[in-house]
Amino acid sequence: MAVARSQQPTTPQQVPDEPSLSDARLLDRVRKGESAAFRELVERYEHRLTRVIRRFIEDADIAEDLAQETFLRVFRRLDQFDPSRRFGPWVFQIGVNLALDWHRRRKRRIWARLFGDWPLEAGFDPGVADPREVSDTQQEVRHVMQQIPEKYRTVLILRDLEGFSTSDIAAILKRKEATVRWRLAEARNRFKSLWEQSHNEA
Amino acid sequence: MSCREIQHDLALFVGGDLDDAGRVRELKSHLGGCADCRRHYRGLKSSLVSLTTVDQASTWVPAISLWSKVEKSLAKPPESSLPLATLRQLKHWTPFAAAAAACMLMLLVLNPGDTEPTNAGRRSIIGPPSASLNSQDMPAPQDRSESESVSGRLVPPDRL
Repeated sequence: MAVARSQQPTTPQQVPDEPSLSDARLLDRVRKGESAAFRELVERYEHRLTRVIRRFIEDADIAEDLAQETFLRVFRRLDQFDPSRRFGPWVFQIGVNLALDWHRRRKRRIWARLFGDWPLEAGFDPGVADPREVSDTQQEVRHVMQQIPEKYRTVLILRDLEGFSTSDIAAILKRKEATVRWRLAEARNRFKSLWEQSHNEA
Repeated sequence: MSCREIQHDLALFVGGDLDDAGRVRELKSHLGGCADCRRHYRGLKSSLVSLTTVDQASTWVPAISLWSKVEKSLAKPPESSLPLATLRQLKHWTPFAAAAAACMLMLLVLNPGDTEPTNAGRRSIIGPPSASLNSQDMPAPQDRSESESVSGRLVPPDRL
């Protein structure tokens, strides 16, 4: 999996020498109590993790909180991590689950919308807490994405927007790769149908 | 293969996710003689291009590293390590809890019930807010307890 490396300058707290230690080596050091090794892992994954979470949660502050929460859980569950597995998909698995859980809890609290100042479908509302210019096409795409069931939309986001391989997605979602591929095909076909339908209506 | 099966494979093929050379050959052969599936393929390609236009990944990165926040949270005792996202949510519930409390107070004052109003009863109704507002009537504490149960799982090990 491609890894987003931090561009920050090296500080004395970072792991000395060996600038590109494998995740497994860093994990060994974390288990021995080296906080600098955990820092290296956080900085290695934080950008991509935050970006992936923001695919599901548009609010930047909430997304960063969930990314932070992901790293806390990673640290506190290190003893549960199977060293024979790859570390990256495990991090994204925790992060994606947190994002999806957050989304589901929000949906269950529909009436909270009346009293809150954030949108119900924050995950795909481009108008909140995001100063980016969002084109009409992007708004249309997001509107169509909202209509796709979560299990398909998640695969579509991870594969076509984030570029994870189907085997990585299988690891992140804890599903068989065949299931992921089936959902991916279904997701693309559903997106196509809804996309064409929305254009025909327009 | 039926058109339905072909269109399933086309959805994988369009994104480079169909590895089976035999199925790819069958796909191409089918497309040569099926206008519906050719149209479906063009639609898939077009919609996939549209989908990827939402990608502005380079702008979706935190301005500063999360490490300092993570490090601080790991150092906190479990009682004070409520997830930040949950804290944000609780903040949004505060006005609702206050409104609910105010409504309860108004109802109690304006509609004391069927019981004969006695001096003792009146005293209990117009007593201090803390006495008349039962905590279990308000949703906020329930939300808080849920959050606390989340925080209960976040026990930092002593290793760092």
